[in-house]
Amino acid sequence: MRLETLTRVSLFVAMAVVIHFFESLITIPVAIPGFKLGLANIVGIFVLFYINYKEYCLVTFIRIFIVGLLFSGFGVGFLLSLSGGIFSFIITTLLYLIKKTSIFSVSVLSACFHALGQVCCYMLISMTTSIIIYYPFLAFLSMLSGLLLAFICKLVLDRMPKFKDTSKIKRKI
Amino acid sequence: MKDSIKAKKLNDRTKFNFFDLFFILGACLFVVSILVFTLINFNTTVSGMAYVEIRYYTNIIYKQPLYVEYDPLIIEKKDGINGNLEKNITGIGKEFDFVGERVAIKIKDNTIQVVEEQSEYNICSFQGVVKNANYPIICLPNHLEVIIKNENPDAPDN
Repeated sequence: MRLETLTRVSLFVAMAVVIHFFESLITIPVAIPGFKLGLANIVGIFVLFYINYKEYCLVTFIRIFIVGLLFSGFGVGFLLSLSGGIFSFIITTLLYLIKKTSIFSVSVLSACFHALGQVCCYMLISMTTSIIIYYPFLAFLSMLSGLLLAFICKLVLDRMPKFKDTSKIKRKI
Repeated sequence: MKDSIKAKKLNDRTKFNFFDLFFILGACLFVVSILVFTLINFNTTVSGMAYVEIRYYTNIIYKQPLYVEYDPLIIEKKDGINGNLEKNITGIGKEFDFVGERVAIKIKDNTIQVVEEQSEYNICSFQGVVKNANYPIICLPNHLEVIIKNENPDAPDN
């Protein structure tokens, strides 16, 4: 890995972890357990559309591990967010590689599949199928918040200058 | 020239287009179909052979016919370590490690209800009375699931 990539990824991961911490201070008056706005995914979606999907993968999974290390520990919560992360990473990468979809559908479907991953993981942990009743409500709210995140990310992306990969510039030493 | 094409592509991908509508509608359809599936399968009326099942993690701690009434059935910590169902229960109920403090479940008139529990948002007590089969009351902080199940009508007599 290039030094530039390493620095960039670590800065984005730090940003995502800080946003995740501030999100935990916000309480949402919705009686659906497990529902979160997922503000930390703004950084992920931004990296995906500003740089590429490899760095999106790095930022998402390193963030999940660091959040587990710092705040929630490697328990059920970590497994839930990891499975959600894997599901949403798969669908996000597929949609990103189609090239015709925009940031809105990527973010909304990512939120939808994140909820699906979490519900499937909880079904495996607790061996109950009845938890799937929560899925439609969870997914619908997640998709609304995904739309909101996409809108915020669009505002940021429209104002950014074009990305220049400085690691590909040859320098004279 | 090449840079300008790339910049144009980035701008295109921040605009809502037809493909987004297609994919988002597909996702909505998926969610709605799961909702319909769950409403059909998990919200059925109670039959005469219905029983109440209480599960703690993956263990069934209580399984009795619905006409056995409790007002309330108390699950609580005893002697600091073990959880215990009330003494007068003669079912599958047995000692188990219970993490919660005290949960009271009311089984009366073919309905179930969580009357009392300690948790952050008290979601399962807000859920109130449940009179349909296959519609669970789930209390995640206490790892409890209370559900009415219909006896399988296709099963041979027992």
